[in-house]
Amino acid sequence: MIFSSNIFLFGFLPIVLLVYFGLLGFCPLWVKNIFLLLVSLFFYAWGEPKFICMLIFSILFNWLCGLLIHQYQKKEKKKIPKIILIISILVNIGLLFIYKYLLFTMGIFTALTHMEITLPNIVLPVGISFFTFQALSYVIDVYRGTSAVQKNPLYLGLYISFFPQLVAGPIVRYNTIAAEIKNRKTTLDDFCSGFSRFIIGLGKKALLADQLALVADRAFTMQPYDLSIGFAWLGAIAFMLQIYYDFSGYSDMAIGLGRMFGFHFMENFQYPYIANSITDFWRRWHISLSSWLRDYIYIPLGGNRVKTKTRLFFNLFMVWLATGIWHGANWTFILWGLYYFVFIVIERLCGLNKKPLKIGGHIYTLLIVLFGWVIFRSADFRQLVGYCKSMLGLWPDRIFLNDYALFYFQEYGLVYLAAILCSIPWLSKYKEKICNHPLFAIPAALFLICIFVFSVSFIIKGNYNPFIYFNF
Amino acid sequence: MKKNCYAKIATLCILLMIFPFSYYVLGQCLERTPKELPDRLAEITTPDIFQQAEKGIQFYTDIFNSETPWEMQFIEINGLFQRIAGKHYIEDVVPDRSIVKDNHGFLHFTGYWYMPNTFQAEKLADPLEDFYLYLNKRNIPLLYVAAPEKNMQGYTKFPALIKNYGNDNVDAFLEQLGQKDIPYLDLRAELAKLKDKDHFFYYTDHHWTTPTAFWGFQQVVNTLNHDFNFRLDPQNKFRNSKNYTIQNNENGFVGTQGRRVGQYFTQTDNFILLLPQFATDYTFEQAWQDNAVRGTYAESLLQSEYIENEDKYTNRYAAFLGGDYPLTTITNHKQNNGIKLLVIKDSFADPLLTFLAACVEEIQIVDLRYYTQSLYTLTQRYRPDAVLFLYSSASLTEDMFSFTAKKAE
Repeated sequence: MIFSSNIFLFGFLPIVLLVYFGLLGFCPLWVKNIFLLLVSLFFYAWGEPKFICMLIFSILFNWLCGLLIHQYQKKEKKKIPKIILIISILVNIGLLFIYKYLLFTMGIFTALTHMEITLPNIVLPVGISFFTFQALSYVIDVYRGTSAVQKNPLYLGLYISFFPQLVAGPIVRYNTIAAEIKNRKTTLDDFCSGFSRFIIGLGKKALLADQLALVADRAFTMQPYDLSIGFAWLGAIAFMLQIYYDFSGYSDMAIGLGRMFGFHFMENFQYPYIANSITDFWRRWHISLSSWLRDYIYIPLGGNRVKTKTRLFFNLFMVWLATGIWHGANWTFILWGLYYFVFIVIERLCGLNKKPLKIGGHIYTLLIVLFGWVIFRSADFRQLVGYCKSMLGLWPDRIFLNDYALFYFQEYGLVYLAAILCSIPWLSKYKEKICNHPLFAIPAALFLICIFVFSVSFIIKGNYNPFIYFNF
Repeated sequence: MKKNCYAKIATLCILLMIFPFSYYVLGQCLERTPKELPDRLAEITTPDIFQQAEKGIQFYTDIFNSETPWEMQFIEINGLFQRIAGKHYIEDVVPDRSIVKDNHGFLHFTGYWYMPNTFQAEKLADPLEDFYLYLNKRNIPLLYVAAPEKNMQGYTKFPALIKNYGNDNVDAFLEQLGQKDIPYLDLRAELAKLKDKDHFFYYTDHHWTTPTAFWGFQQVVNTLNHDFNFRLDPQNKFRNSKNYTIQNNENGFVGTQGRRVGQYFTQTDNFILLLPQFATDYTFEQAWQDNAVRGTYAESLLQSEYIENEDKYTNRYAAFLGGDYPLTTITNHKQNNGIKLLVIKDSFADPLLTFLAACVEEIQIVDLRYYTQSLYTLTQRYRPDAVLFLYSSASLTEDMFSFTAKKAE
């Protein structure tokens, strides 16, 4: 089920709110938790009925692994918990591999060996990378002793499958919400600020991301040699803004929905396009994934505390390879991950990660990130090379502006402008103060209402697209 | 002011919008479930529970997408947003219903502009030539009237890239007719000579306004008289606009193009009627329904409910002859010149025919979108004094030039 759809906004959400705060308003928390678990499973099944079994298996399997690790650790048997942990990692990654990477691997194998193998028809379960990483982090944390074991499978099920963050993150750590599963209070302040955050996310998705998607899709479905330089840049910038508002919009909705029910998730974005270095960019972009990879790959490999630079770079290489692979089974994603590895290493060697350039840093970062998104969006290397050639004017007889560029600039100029302005934290420090000022409270509320109404108008008009990060 | 006051106000207001919406749609779900869901599930022959679940999900998704309360209001709001955002082109889920706003604020249907034009004039001109030769043998003249295009050359400008192939297609088709010596009247060329182009078409509808249709009627009568030696309206009574009263509909009008994007994307239209001051007595007969209405112009040729309805989204244009039907006949009891016309038309012709009816004794009207029988047989049976084709560019399709009985019959 998509947040920005009629069925979620006018079916699922009001029913869940009505039952949770109305019928179950005075019930003990465990009843509310079970209700949230059931509706979360229903939420997942709505999009993928047949994959609900896999989600339930993932919940039960990881719950059992956590429990066994805890039991054997109590008995001070060191080897068995490790074996269970390895089995858990293998099963989780194995499932991810089968659904996400098997076809890709078989494709490579057949290309190398020229063997004729019939490729199976495998459909990717929505959000598999997100809930698998959440489940894995729980088992690893229990093994490390940094998380308490959850003996109730229903509660662990709620952690893994809680509908706001189930299909596109943020990747919530068990520790973040363990206490809130057992004991939380939903205040009116939390509910309303969560709901407002949800509306902001809805607006980002429907009013900005989906509009810019029309430009990006057009640019990236044309033959690269047909693109003028101007339109190639417009298309790339459109995708750069689209993916930000698509994904951060979803994260806003997830964080907002969580808060409405009393859960406080970590932030996933911090204005990434104001970063002044690539290192800074990755501190601000998809924070929950970056920190997951840091805690479960980079630090276990030794992190910064290694004796040689070669080893440090190896650790970084592994993290960025994993970043690329996590995003999808395609060489372009792997290249995209390694592309960032190269710039992170350069920044480390030049000390730019600690002392970034002042003004030049922003421009350099934006350009690197922009070309990074071209790699990410391209279907294959051929398109990637062709698109970059268009941007750089390397095709013969290229013109700077053609009708495409003019049309899209005229039609979407204001959307670009709004998207660019909203990616900069103007007055963010004072936002709460301004919005709560007697003079501005009503206009601020009206602004949110307008965002909601305009967003719904787009949903009803049928212009919405699925979220990009559902594929990961 | 209390903390989060703005969020509380916004939350309250938005929830007050969500819950009634939800109440309505869920009510529809409850109502339709026992009636329709079992049939939907019965379509699956295997006992696969997941397939059944998918069917059920699709069923409820369809209800949520189709039973939208205040749908038109949301489309209007969307149009307003698009206008504020400076958009001129709104892509539609139905490709040929995408809308573009021209430099004067007129809306136009346009297919996805990146689709090539696949029009082949010969495929339409050939069957028309066959029919023309058939009529020639029986001494029945044929006149093809090309209705004017809302996309007026030298006046209408679209945003860069947007293409509307209407004029190109009509040009190519008329060129074919010229080569085959089939008489035609190109109203586009005549209209281009006139000034004050702002009033020729509705802003929100693809049709011409009533005064333009009246002008079209004058041109058709002039051509029939001049080129085919008819003596229609010899005293210039029916062609004289002074003999008509202008009636302006105060409720306004948003046409089929406006309905896709709402009234705020551009301006709403005035809907004007021209009511004869002279005495009229017609019978309008819908052959397919065995239904006949006799009365004055307003009583028989106009459907008043389309005019009186206060909702501006009412298709007021359908007031002329009540819209489009397979076969209809207008008999003029005040005319005794013995002239019968057979008119093959699309909706552009509707207002024009209500005026043309004054000049002849009878008009039989065929709409090939709905009429499935042979036009040859009909002509043989009806024996008209002339055959008129009145098509806009949208009717340049093979269906509209298929004159033999359709297979589905």
